[in-house]
Amino acid sequence: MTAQVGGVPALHVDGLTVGYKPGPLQPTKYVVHGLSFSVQPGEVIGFLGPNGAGKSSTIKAVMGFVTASAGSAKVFGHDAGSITARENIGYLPEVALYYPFLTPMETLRLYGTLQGIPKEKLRAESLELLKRVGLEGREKHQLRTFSKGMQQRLGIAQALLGSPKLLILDEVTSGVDPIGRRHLRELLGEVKKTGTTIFFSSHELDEVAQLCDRVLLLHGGRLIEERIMDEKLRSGIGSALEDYFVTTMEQATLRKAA
Amino acid sequence: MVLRKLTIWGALSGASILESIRRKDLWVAVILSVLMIGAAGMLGRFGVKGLETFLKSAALTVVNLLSVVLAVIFTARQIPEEVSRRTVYPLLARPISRFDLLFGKFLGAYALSLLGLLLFALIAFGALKWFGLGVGTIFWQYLFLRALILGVVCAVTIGLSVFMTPQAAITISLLLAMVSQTFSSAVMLLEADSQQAGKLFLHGTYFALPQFNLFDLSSRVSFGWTTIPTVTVLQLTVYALLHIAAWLMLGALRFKRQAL
Repeated sequence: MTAQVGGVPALHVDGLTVGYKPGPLQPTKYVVHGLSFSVQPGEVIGFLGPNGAGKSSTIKAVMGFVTASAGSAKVFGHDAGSITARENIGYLPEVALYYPFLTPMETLRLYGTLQGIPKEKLRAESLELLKRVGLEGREKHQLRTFSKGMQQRLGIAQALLGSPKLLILDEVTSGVDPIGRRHLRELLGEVKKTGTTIFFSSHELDEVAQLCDRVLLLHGGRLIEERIMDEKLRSGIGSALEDYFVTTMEQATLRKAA
Repeated sequence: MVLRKLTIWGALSGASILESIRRKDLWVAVILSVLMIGAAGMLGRFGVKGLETFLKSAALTVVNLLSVVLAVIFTARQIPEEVSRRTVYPLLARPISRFDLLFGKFLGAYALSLLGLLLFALIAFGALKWFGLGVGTIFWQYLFLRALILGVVCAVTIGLSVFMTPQAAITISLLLAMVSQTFSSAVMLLEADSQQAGKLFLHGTYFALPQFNLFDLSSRVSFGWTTIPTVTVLQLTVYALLHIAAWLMLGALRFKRQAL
């Protein structure tokens, strides 16, 4: 962990535009348009929007998986996608099927080694993380025997390896049952207390209401609202936030149509 | 820095090897090679003329064929499988470069291919010994050159696999490996009747594509010929390393710019 953290935003996105070419001779289709926002160290941000709003594309650009057509993103002051930026990030992709013939311990050993965690520390940390995500006793089972929810728990464990300063989670509780969701919410609550910055996209507004300090609402690749989570939005465990989310999105759709 | 790179490549290749071994891909090919070489042996026992040459030729053909097919199949799925399972994301979320990922995967596939080659060669060697046939020193040269060419096969396949679907990469790699002899002969025949521009194009194509047949000593082993000069082996080693580097660089350049 070499990055300087003091004073600089954990994540700073400035005029980010992301586009894809659907085919070799087809024009670029833009899915994120001039997006700008900033996340301070220790903040927990919910990145919300309907399907196709550009959440995953933004996250991919921040991770360096796609090149931005315009604008920039910086992680603790380092260019997004650079090796130095990635030293500070723990990332959970939206639905990944981990190596079916490896065990959770072997999978974490692979990711931890790539992260540069020393061997002795890695083993202890892996065991601890598997316990925290509820996979204790499954350390030596091959992943082909794991359900989707269990795979997602392993995904969270790999994201937490090496105690990253910024945690980026794409659809964090996707495929996880209600008990598992509560468990993961508690886990993220513990991570939040350590001062880790968490930036996550989710369609589960309950967990957003309980965990987030601020929400960013995306529609059609544009940031349409940015709001601090106050008591009013947290009330009714997600239902107030759901009302706010649905109303804002409907207004955005109407504005776009007009 | 070097140690860090070696650790990264080792971790990536180690995971690939472990997964493939547990998937039991190699064992299917081993059983197949035992059956094929055994069948050739049985056929030889029923009175084929020139038994020794026939058996050696059959055993080495099985080794050549299966080792190349396995190498291509192992390698072609390395990167596309990471992408389709979406495990490429947590890998590239780590502080490693895309070249590290490509090279680590190449090493894993190459190590598995070498393991396959050694197993097939051991089976062939054992079978020939069983039939009371010696292979001579040239067999070891043959094995070394096979090991080198498998490196080229893996590099070509992994390079192609980032440009196209795994199925297309498998088809093209196998075609390159299998029709190499025919291609070289065709180029030489065409070159004799070509104009200056045509000659240049044919020369370019000949040197751009790896000539797999240059590395095939199986006929020499079958006919019990003497070893080839060490300098030729060295030249072929350099030739193979250059092709491995070129194909890996080509794949890495494409993979670096690829949107995931």
